[in-house]
Amino acid sequence: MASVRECRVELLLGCRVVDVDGVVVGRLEEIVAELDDDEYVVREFHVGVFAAFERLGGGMLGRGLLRLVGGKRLYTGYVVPWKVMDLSDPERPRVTVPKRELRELGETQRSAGTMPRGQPSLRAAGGHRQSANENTVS
Amino acid sequence: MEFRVVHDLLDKPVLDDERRNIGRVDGVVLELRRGAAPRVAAFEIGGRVWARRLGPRMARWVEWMGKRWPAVANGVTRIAMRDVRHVGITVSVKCDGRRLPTLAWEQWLRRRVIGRIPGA
Repeated sequence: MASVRECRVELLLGCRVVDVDGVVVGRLEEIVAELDDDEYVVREFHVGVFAAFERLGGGMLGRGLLRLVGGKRLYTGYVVPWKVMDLSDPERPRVTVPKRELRELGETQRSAGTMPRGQPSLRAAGGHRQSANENTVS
Repeated sequence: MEFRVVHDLLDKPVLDDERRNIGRVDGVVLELRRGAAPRVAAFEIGGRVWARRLGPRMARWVEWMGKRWPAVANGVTRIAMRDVRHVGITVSVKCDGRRLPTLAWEQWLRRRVIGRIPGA
């Protein structure tokens, strides 16, 4: 039987995350899960000041201000896939790869605001549906 | 469907079957599985969970209160994610809130204080 441990999200929040070399990546601010067979499965963790702002639901204007005021220093956030996040010690979360290999919270994600991340794919699905209808009509 | 655990779930008001407010999501439990992605297993409601977020000293104090006045310092209610009907501005769950320990304090207050006020 696979071993199962429990970990509390509210205590993980704000914990400093370091990479494999001990370099600070940022503080853990958000956990993104996906509904998969009636289960909410964690897909990625968002780390950094920008992730905190995202959690608070900062709109586009707020994001622009953040970039203006804080520059690159405040406007950074990283996406940590679940596979590279080591939560064996929940008080000291660790990433098992170097910080430079982590994906930054992308510009498209940054401007997405509080909209669900599935939005682009939904849009794509809509586009596909439309083309299917066109085929039916023709 | 994507779901942001902190933004969409933590601190949201929880409503039961009868749309009674039974508290707020004070904590979320992740299940860490070897070789598989972590799973959001449940969330918890209760003063003790909330106190833990404020630090170990507050957690110890609330635990002490719970031992001294069990009816007042209520226990922890854990609700599995499979019992969640809907997550939006509020979190709707499939359960009867009257049976949960989260409302023990309110029931105690109603019985001992509010109920004794004339005209209450």
